[in-house]
Amino acid sequence: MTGTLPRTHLGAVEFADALRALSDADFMRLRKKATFRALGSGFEGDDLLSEAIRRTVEGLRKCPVRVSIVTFLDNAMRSIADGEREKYNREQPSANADGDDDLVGRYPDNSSSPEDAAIARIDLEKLLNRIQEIFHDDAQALAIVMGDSEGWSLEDVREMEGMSEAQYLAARKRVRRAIAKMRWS
Amino acid sequence: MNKRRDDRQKLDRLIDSLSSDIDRLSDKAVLEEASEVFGAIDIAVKQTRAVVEEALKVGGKSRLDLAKQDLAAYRVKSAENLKRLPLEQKLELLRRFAQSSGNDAGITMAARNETNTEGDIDGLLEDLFDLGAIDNEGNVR
Repeated sequence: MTGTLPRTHLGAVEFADALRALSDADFMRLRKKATFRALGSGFEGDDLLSEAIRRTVEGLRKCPVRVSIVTFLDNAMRSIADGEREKYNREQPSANADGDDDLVGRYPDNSSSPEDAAIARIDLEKLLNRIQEIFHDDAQALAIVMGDSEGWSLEDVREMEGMSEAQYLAARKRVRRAIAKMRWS
Repeated sequence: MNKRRDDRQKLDRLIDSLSSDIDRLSDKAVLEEASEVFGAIDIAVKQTRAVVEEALKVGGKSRLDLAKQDLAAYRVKSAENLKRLPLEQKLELLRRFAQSSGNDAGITMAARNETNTEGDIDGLLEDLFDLGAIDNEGNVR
């Protein structure tokens, strides 16, 4: 047999060229996605995007030829952020049998390293509560946040608040804007 | 289910849903929404391009550093390989190299083992390897 095997992944230079060639709209897609993906991970959005790019250039992650750069980086950021949350999940001590929530966020060795400080910030329950509080006076937006979190269907969410399609889309936009603007530290 | 695991799943589902929204928006709608969050769109794009360029630079440098480490490790291993050859084989290698390179006087003398210690010969072989004149098993290229 002659010829070369078809390439399955972009090389570092090809990846960099393809990334630089993205449109302004795609750059903003990446930035918005990074903002969402970073929630509860201890990263800021730009830092998470940067981390995903760095790992790809270093060869730790590989961008398939047939996948768009935006989709690939979105998946990479999802994976990195999820890894950080998993690290928190493993290292966070459980509440005691009496349900003493004061234990949440405390560590057996009382370590105060920067890494532990970052992990301590990631209290997902508080984060979810904070997101819901943002929409305490917007029932339609709150229904979307709760519905998305619980995995409800679009129809169920709309029915819950009796939203027309236009009202639903407008409420989703309010959710995206408010969550992208929120600061969590 | 573990409460924290449950919270993680809720957050994952919410974020996946928000991220999917972005895929469905037109370019115009994405730019409009981005300007509402990040400010003037030309500045926001410029900032993101700067983040991307810095990440490419840092990743590229790190990749280069790793490649240098690999090369250095390969050179050390190759030099060790050459040092382990029997002295007679090292001299034969130098003789062959001297012939193929036009009987270089210094190498010919070294090959005759007239003036050099084995350490000198190892150093000479290492130089020839670094120059690409021989491979890590002592074959003349």
